[in-house]
Amino acid sequence: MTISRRLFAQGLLAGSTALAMPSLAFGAAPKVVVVGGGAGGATAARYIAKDSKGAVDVTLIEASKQYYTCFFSNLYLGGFRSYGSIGHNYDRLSSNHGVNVVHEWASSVDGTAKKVNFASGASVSYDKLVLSPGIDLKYETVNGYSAESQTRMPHAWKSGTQIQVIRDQVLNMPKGGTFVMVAPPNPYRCPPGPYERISMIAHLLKENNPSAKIIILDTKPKFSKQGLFMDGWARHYAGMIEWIDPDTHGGILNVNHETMEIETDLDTFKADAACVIPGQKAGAIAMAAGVNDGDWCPIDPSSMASRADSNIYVLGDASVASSMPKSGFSANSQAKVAANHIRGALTGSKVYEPRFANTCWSLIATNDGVKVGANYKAGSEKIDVVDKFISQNGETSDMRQSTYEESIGWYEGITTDMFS
Amino acid sequence: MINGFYKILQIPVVFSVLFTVMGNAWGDDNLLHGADAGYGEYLSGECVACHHSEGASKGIPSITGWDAETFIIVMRAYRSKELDHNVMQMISGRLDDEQIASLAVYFASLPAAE
Repeated sequence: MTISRRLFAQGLLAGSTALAMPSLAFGAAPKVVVVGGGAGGATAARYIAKDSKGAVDVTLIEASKQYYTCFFSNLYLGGFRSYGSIGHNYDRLSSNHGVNVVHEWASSVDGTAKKVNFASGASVSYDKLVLSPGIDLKYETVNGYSAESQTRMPHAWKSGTQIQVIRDQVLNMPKGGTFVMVAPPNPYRCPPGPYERISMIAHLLKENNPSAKIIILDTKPKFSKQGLFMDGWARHYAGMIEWIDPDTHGGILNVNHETMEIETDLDTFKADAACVIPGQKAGAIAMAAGVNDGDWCPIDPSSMASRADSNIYVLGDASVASSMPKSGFSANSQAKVAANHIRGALTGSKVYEPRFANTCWSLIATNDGVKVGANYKAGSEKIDVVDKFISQNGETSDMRQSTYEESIGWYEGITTDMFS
Repeated sequence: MINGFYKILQIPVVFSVLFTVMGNAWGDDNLLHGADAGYGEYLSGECVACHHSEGASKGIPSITGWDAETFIIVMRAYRSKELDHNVMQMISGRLDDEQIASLAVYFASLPAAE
């Protein structure tokens, strides 16, 4: 067991009768436990700890010591970033704000006892719990695909090293070879992500293997920023990328990671390298906590509190945030709404009106960036759009370069907002 | 047409916008009316998702340590679409005068970028 000494010293571990009693009864600082150290969880932990100035005891449970952002992993794939540049740790959350960072796997939640149990057997109690577990993959949505398929047909849709596998496989494709992507059904993490990934693969191939081909077998009839991507692909990668919609291919019947074949109604595609992104659902801890309704977790749009348990907040990809896309930016925005609400509930601090925003940048080719964004408010039933924008075809190259440079600034800004 | 944050912040443009907007602002109110730094800190969550909270400036300009009235004038210019930037027009579009003033006094209280 690797519970930190600080956590132990502060008596957060369950097992002691006294400590299992509600902390508020003793006048001790109320306890918030956050599960998941990504854009939602790290931001929530940081804001609650920073803004409560010690009045709330914040514990962040995150299995990984080094966190690699999913956002900008495509830029690593394309050669625009180093892998190290998308890695972050939690040291400053501890040293700057006193967050107890515990590198454990949270395996279950007892909502009645208000306790999170770890795979190691230890547990931690809470007054308010924030779940920001991201996604799990529904392998079964693609016939023939399984966890075993990942080394040859990586999804690379969760933070981690699979993106390095894709890069290696693309760079090692035979001359004139074929890359095939199976793109996921809605709703899924990062709507423009598969198509930015295709852009980055095309960028790599154009430099190293220009006669290679890319085929996208999509499970949906249209996709995010479609007009912008299609226009960009025609300008930068003419003849290289073929997007095939489900009406045309008739459905993905089977994938075989041994033969590298993807069978559809239309044809069987033989891949030299492939990426299969299956359907998705809320991360396992949300399911274990019972705050899901089907694959995702309904929330109160005014606070991000679960519809099933008002002491549990669900952020980011795992939540049903209606019009807000499943993105790191959305999770970061939702985290601030939840943090404000949680502090208000635990310390009586002022609770301001919820405000949400999102912008998703995508890189199509060198200095050719596009973006889509919106801001949102809490409606009575769901999160509603207030205003939105999207990049336009025909923008000047200066504008596209400026959009790309903005995305670099955003990455620095949001990762500071999460981890500093 | 002005594209990109850096071009917006070119000195002649800022001065011309200051002149135009202050012409409108003068006489109608105190720009800082209703400013509440605590509320500004909450609202700033929307800004620091992109603008580096420690003032570093790379691709997106620093907004820490600005003079509060300049901040207000620039934000109002985005709101009235006299300054062109799709994200900033959207963000400022739902901020009222008191919210902009609150953000202005909060960001003015932070150290400027080095």
